[in-house]
Amino acid sequence: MNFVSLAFILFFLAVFVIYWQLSRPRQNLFLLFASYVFYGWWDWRFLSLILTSTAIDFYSGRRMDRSENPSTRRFWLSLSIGANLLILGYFKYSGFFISNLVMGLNHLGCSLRSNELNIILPVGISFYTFQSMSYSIDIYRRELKPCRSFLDFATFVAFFPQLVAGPIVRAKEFLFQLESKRSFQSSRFEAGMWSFILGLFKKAFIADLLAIHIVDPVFAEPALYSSAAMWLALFSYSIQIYCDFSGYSQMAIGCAAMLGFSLPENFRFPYLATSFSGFWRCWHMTMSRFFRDYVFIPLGGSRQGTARTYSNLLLTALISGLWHGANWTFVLWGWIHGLGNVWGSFRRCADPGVPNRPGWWRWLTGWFVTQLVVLLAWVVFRATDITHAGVMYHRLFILQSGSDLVVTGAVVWAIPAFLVEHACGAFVARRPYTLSPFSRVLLGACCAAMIFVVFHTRPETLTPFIYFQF
Amino acid sequence: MLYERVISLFARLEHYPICCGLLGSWLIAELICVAIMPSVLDNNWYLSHYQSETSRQSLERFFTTQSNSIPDPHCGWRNAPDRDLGRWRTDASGARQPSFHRKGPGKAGVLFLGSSMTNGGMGVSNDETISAYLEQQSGLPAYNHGTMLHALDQSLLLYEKALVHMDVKYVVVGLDPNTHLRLTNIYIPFSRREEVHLPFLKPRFVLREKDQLECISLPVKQLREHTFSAETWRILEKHDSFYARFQRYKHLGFSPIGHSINRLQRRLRNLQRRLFPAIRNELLYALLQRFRSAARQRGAKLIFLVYPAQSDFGQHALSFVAPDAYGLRLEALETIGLHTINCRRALADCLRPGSRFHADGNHFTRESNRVIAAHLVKAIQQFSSAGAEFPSEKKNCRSTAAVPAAP
Repeated sequence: MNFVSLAFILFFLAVFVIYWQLSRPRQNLFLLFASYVFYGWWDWRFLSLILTSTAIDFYSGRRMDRSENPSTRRFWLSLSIGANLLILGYFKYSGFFISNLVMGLNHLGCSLRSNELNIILPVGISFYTFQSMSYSIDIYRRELKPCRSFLDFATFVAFFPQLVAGPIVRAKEFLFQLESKRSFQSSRFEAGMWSFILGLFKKAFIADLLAIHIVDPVFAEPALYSSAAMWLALFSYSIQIYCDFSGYSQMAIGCAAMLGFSLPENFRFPYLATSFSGFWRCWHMTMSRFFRDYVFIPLGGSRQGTARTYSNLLLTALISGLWHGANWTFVLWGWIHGLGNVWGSFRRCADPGVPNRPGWWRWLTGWFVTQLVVLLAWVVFRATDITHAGVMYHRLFILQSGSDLVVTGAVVWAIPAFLVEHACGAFVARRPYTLSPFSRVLLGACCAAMIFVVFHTRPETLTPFIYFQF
Repeated sequence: MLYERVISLFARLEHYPICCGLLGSWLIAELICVAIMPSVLDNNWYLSHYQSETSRQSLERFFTTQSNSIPDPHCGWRNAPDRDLGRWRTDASGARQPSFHRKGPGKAGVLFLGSSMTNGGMGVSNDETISAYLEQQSGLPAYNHGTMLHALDQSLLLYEKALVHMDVKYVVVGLDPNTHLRLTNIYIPFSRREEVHLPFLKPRFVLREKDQLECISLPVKQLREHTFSAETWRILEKHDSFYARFQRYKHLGFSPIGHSINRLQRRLRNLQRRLFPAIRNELLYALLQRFRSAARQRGAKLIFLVYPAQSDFGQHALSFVAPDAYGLRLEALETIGLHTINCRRALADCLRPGSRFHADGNHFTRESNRVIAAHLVKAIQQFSSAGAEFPSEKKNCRSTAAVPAAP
């Protein structure tokens, strides 16, 4: 069920109305039922998978907490993490590893053939397995007590607004919300509604228009287009992926807010960042903190010398790249960002006298270099394989003639709309209820205008969210 | 009491300023779209938004002969001659002939008329159409002038006006499941807005007194300007039964709630049509009679292939309550003495459900074409006085005779 569909609007309306008529225990049960209906809408066969993962983690968490023996606790933690990684590895990476293994062995002289496995990737598997693992790890670290109710835990894992594409929610920031009484608040409801509609506008208007009219045609056949068209497509893709993903996150946060829950923020204007570390503090924030807390810091973080810090940064970035998909392009993308983080770390060590608020020149250079590398790294992220990325880089850096893009109609407004959203978002997006009543009425009028714009520019077929494929 | 409740409701609204702004603005916008804009803007403005960019590009190609269809003064459009798209090819006359086609001596052929279901569509090659299988199974030369989206009236005009020199013994006309609806349509996008590749004008017949048929035809060239004259709008309003859809689009198509209401209304009308199908159609019968007269005058025998839709096989959820529209239609045709072939029974007897239609759900597979051709051969044999007229006889769908391999 795509968020940008009439089916989801009707589904959510029904859930919202019924939900607020129920008492808390029944609310959680109803949420669980609704979440499974939502997930089963994609493919009912994978409901058993999410239920299995939930059961293993719930049981492991309880056994871990009961035991004081470190090896027993490690055993249950390993079981939980192992089960989740096994599920993730099988569905997401088995084809990739097998084909690369066969290719490697063929290079060594063996003649093997790999048949395509055709394994369907369950939607949201990367997200809910990570959520479950964070629960087990927090229990192991004694940062969290295990959930007493299987129902509450299952609802936490399957909570439909953030199930398929995040934000990746920690158990300790969500479980207590499930266990406490929730009352309907008009301010929270309106903030959620604003967030949902803004996210819908970013996805359905900005991201989809850029995708259909600029990005997809050029990236499908880059050899046909000129260098100028290639740069425009790349720039548009950077806007598309931001609006697509942040739009989804906002819609998820908005839905959760309308149901009385608070989800963590996932984006904070990453294209204003002046360093790679700054970028990753603003882009997919919940995933960044997951990798920081559960990969980078356990590896030693930055406390074991410079060389080790650099290798930890690189390794963490590589893993986060691989998390995005089973393709060498994602590994390369992660590697580029890893190098960027290493460079940033090196500069901080080399020039410790840099003030916290650098001068405008330093700010500008830092911003320009960071954003340029981020922009160029999107090429590998979007490419189907390394060769495809190579063709695109060639067209970007070697001036080529070819077809130019003629941008007409509503697409012309997509990029200015993004700029306006970015400029105004800081004032309005997070705290609409602090504005005056008249300003809020105007905000409502903006919502209506955005809905009409989305309605009039909607494509004939729905485009899926980019991060659904992860 | 009511007054107090209204006051308390408004009092509660002050806690929802964003909602108030949203709902208030939305209602004002809906009012503007539904009531004010239609009275201020003219039809051509709405037409420019009704047509998609793909439609306009299709029209551009249509008039610059880059399309698979070309303008025709009699029936609106015809197949473009000498087109080669690999699996879909036409000859110099615009007919779709198999690779093994050979012209027969004198008056020996079979002329096929109808829509893309007769033509075969893009899903089958020239050697896999009904006409190709008929030619292969019977040896009779077949001329496939089935044309995309042609209705019965256009097939009649094609036969009467454009193929006037074609001298054949048999004329086979394909009757689509919804042929009766398209007889009252002039501007194709009014009935099928999603039909972006063929957004053309077609002629239509009007039944006058004493069963006289009057043909109403609009100049095709005005499609090029993407605007219609006042006279054209007047004719469309009076004679295109789907003009009401365009009116509903004007009023309801520009706002989300209006659009949803329009869609719901359309679904309810389709449901009503499914549950209460219109069987008796005087215009259709008049056209069929005229077809029969025209064929008789030219010494040809007329056979109608009554095509079923997927829903006519009883696999739809409504099949338990809806009447058998196909059966009723067939019965009505047979009572006026037409030679018909029950394609539904032919396909149901010989093919599994999954192999009758293409993925688009509308066009037949090559297996279906082969089965229909076999039944058509039998029907033609019934017309002929001596069985030795045909070089080879085909028994039924279970015959093991070879069919042309798909390229």
